[in-house]
Amino acid sequence: MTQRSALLFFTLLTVQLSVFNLKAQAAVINHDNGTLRLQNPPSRIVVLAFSFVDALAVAGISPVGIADDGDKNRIITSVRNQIGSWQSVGSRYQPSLEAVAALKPDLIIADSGRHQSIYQDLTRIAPTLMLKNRGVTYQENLQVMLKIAAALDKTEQVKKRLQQHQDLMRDLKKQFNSQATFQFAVISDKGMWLHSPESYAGSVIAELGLKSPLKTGGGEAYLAAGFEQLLKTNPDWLFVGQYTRQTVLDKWQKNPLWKILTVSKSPQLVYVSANVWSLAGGMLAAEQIALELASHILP
Amino acid sequence: MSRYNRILAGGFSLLLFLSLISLFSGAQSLTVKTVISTLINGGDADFIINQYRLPRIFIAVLTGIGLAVSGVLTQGIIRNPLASPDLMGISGGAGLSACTVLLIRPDINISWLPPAALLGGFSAALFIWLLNRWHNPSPARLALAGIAVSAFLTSCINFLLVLHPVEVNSAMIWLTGSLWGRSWDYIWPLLPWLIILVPFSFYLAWSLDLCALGDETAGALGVNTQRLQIMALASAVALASVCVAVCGTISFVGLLAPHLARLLVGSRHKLILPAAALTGALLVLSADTLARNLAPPLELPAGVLTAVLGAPYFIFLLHRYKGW
Amino acid sequence: MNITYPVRKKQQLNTLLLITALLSGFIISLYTQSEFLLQVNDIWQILTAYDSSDIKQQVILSLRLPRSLTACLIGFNLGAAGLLMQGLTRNPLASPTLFAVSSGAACVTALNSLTFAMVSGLPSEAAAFIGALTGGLLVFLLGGGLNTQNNSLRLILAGIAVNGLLTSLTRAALIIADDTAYSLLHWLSGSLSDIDWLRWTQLWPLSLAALLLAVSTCRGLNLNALGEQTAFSLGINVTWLRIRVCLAVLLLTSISVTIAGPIVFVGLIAPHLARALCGRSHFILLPVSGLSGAALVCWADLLSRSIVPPAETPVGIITALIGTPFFIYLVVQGKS
Repeated sequence: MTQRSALLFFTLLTVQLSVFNLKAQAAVINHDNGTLRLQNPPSRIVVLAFSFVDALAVAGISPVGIADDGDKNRIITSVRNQIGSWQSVGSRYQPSLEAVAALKPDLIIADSGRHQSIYQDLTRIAPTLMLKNRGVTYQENLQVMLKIAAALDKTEQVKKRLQQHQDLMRDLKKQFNSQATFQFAVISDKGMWLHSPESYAGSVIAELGLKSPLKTGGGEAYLAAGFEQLLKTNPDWLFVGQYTRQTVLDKWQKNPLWKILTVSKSPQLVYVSANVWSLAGGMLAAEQIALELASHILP
Repeated sequence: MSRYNRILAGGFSLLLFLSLISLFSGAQSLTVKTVISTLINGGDADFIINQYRLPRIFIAVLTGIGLAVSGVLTQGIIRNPLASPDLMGISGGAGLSACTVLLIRPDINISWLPPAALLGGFSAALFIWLLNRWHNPSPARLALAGIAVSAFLTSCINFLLVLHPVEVNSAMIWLTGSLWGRSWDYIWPLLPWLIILVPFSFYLAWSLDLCALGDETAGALGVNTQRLQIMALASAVALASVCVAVCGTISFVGLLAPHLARLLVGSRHKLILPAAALTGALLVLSADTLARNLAPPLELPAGVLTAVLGAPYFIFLLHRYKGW
Repeated sequence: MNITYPVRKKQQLNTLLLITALLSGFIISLYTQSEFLLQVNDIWQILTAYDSSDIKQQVILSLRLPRSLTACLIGFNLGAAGLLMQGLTRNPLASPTLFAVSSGAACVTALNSLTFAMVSGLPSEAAAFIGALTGGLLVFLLGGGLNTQNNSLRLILAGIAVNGLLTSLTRAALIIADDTAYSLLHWLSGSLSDIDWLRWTQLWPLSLAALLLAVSTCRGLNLNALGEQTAFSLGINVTWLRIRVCLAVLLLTSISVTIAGPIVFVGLIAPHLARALCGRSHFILLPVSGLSGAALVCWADLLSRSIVPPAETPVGIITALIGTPFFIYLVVQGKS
């Protein structure tokens, strides 16, 4: 009797243990379209948005395919340097599923804002994570990055790097300690768009404890601004990312009212890369934004 | 074999040929052998062939047929070379309501789009129908009113887009019309409608031919003109809306296919209908094949290509049209 | 031979009303919806106590004034262009929008902006102007513009086809432009938000020339209204008239579109308003239609700033939302 119960006990224990073991191996990630369970850490990964490439670079894994709009330079240098070569799978708005399938990925990371309509198809190719990319803010993106890290079984490594990043951000925040207002905007020959704290660059600026000249509320990420709005906003620092060679700013600078703006009197109008500040959206990009801010603000 | 049958047979073989081209070409180059073995046994390229290229070919053909038949019916009722679902505001109405859904709830399940599009398409058609009832304008003016309605709907869409700048891109793709990412799942909202409505349209086409003999003759032959018009218009709207719901507002197909068919087989609806359906299928299929293969792996929206293919041809038609 | 139409009291009164509407719109647009909380008083101050260091006065003078003036002139141009087209084709539905001038400009601008990685493209003004002219000429030629035999349905059809083609291409460009799509879309819907004195100086000389050309066609259009045969027998060279009118229309609309993007349907509504107010002589109709157009654009611009302040709704969308129901009304009204 005791023998039998001991046997039973052992059997149960082994079952328990093996279940436990299995659980330890499988990564379970909650994403925007449900839960994904991965038995083994994936190695062939296709990403369909830029901020996910950033997360992969942090985890030290190179994607096999990226929806890069057919232009490798759209991946910012700091990210590109950390990953190996990849295949383009077309544009982000209509990635070629054929090219994705041909790469035989074991994980696809797609933008839940943009690729909702092809989720079913993607799952037929490989397990798919749907995460927020478009309209993501700094804090949200860090959560997304941790989810990706969990899927890749690289949580330790990424958390360590995140710690470094957060130390850097905290350090910079302490040093900045500025009462001035900071604004990022993209400009083209068609107009200027102010990125509010609801946008990625705006939320990075806010994270660094820097003030926005915009009145809060509205919840809009991008605000179209004419010259009059810019005059009223009148930021102490203006960082602009250019989309075209000629911009409305060139014209506005000829306007007599230009000298009212604070940025006209001091070298506080800074041209930055729109790719880094607006397009990329990831932790490494945020770091680059922060360091760029530091190089201008700190003496 | 009569000339008509030869034309149909020719069109059909062209369609088959084009489907084969579409099946064998794409971002990933596969050998003929691989494609054939995949078709039969599945295997490595199963997704690319069986889940990606094949359903797109089917959907392209089906939407082409749907839009073309809808165009034939619209032109048949309104008796105007300009009438077509996209110019009459039907596509516009379907587009506006689907767009509203997309912009307000970007995360919504796509299965809500077809009912929304149907609703929009029918509202636009209802408006035009009421206009027709109240004012009884001449066919040419009705067509113009349709164009105005569709212009109005387009500016409503623009207004929405300006208010929701982040979603511009998805909405634009949808408005242009694209077969990207259309898998077998999209066949099901499409196929039942077509199976019912296309044969029904053949019946209607036969009656429309009787109408062309004059209202009195038609009446004597047992055709109720009023009821026929309502049924034909409703079928046209349903066909167009369903196609728009699945692929977005692909332009020029509904306008062009009937014209081309008329040029080939004369003016009897009974004859035009199959020819137009073939033409529509050819048009959408070639547009989508081009869209995939112009600059792989980049994909273009097929609607751009139907316009690029369709507009010059339409202009050519205008040039040689003598019946002003 | 000249046809003279008597000028009635009522017409003078109507014109006066129109001018009042325009002026009030003009003045309100100088100060309304400002981030600087401008008031009518500030305008008065400029006239009585000008102070070059006052920010409010400077905002009015260097931002608001050129914008309002440009809005009016563009409206005037479009109204005049619409009148010329309707006069020539004797078709109440003809309008510059149908000439694909707007969609041509939009298309080339959108395509031009695709040279994304700062590879030098054309300056945007040049791109818009080329597009406008190409679109217009295409419709003109395809619609049988050079035939003496007048064919308005064909012209409209050609316009629709060309418009459809250009719009699809524009959408494709927008899709590919992706991250700049929303900035492009703003301009493509017609916007006056970025107008300064430089724009005004680009606009007025060409407009003036085109308007003078337009005035020179008035006599011909008056006779043309009696029918082409009559006009011909009264010694009007109809082909030459068509060419001059089309040139004037192309110029007027191209400049306007280049400056402010496609502002649609003004050219359709203004002439009808003018005819309702002031009779049939093109000599009077031309300025009145122009003034109606100016008032329309001016008020539409006002409205565009007030819908979701401080953001601006592109003015072209407003005119389209007003214009299309009117178009439908016109279409249904006239039974042919």
